[in-house]
Amino acid sequence: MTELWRLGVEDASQALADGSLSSVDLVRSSIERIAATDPHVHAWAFVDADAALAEARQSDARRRAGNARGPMDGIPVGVKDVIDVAGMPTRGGSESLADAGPAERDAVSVARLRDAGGVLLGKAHTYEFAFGQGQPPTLNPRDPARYAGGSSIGSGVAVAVGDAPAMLGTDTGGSIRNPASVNGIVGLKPSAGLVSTEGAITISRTMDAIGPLTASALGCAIVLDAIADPAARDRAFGGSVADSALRPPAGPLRIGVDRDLWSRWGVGEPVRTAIDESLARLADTGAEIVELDLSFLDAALTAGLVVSLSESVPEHRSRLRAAAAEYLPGTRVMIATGALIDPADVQLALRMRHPLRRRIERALSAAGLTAIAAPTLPAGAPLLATMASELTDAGDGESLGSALRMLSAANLTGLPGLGIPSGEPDGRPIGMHLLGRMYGDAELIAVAHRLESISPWRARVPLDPVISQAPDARE
Amino acid sequence: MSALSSGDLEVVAELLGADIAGEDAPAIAAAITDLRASLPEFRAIAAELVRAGEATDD
Repeated sequence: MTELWRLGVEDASQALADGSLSSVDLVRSSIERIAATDPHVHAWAFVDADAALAEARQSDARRRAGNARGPMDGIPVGVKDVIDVAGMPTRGGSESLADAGPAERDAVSVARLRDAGGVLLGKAHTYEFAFGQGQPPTLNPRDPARYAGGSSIGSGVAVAVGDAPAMLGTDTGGSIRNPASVNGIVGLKPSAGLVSTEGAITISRTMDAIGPLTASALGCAIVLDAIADPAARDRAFGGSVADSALRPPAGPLRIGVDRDLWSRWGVGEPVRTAIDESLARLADTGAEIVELDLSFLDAALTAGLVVSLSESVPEHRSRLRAAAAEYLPGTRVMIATGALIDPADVQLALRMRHPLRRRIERALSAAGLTAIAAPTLPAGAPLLATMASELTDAGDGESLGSALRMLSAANLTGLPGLGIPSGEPDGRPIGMHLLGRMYGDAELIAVAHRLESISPWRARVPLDPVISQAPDARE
Repeated sequence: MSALSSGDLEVVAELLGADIAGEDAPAIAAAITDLRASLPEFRAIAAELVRAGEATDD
């Protein structure tokens, strides 16, 4: 029998619905998997097994009474530790919140997840306040000497090793899609306005997004259905994201690429080859790959930094006043840099967001495209000992110096960005990024589902079996 | 090596406190110098995008 922790959201949901699985068994399997893997990878900042099992029992009782709340009812989920979960501390990966007590209420996204029957397992490690500075304890499950992903690092690793079929993360310039790429899983930065960030510690009130990291493409859709604002979801998708993703497409699939841009981003040869192979597989299903000039996407980097860093100042001003010495110096430097940006540049960056979005959407519609495809990151996970800490540094083929440049456009414009697995050369997963039109989330997930259907992603789960693999690098 | 201007240092000190601002000043100076170096190109591209957007707005 398949170990239950191996089930993706949609498979677990189906098994719960047909009565072949109970939420208690599924959640217990997650808790046991966490106990087995976390000594190796340190993905979790906080786990409340007793509360999770109690919620699972409630879910099973609802289902027995014929009152199941939908596809997420009974599914275990974890949450990046910048998002409030009632009864659990939010420490944001920061010493300044080391003594934080339990949050009094759920963030809006978590409350919606709970209303949909999701079972809250706990909180996942993050870089301090998601700024990407310092080094959380979380380790890459395939090679602890290598980078394990951007700021939703614990969420990415937890899904990769099978601790939970879905986690929530936040994304200001790629922090969901980056760990999805490094860990060989799916990560969605949803369209702006679908998922409330209320109750989360954000970097930027206008660029941050909360979204799912999952083992499968449809899992992303099912979680998005649960955490999205119901009215916005209904307007955008005519009901369910998952149903919309599974609907037959209206016409042939066309995907745009700009391989010259990949070269300027310093994309390494193994990455380029992996992405081209995925595109070729899609082409085998009838998709058409269209070469375009998308060089205007590069405009998003500086504008994204100007907006996000300047908006980080009001987010952190009062906390810094109380405890600046307890922030990492690198985090302080980023926030202080934001305070020094000329307000005229901030206004200009804000004004260019809508025109940039329109330019991208025109490129999509003029060529009849569903998505713009590119590598999520320029390289597989680099060695921690040699990688630059500054994500905007130029570097060689192992550098992630272009990471922000490659992913910022989605945050700046509010358009959806989906990171999906695209091969694992030399044991290091590669991600493909799909950028779509506003509220094109389901279309992107449909493309991902098509690729997953012909080329399953979970052939090899790291730490499987756990014994003798990936020894803790700190031991 | 760049240093923060007195005006910049005042802004940073208001945010972080004078002592920490002094400690972090070299790193902040390097970061803001890098960012400001990219601003002329950003301003040109952003202004063009805004102009083009206004010209084509329905």
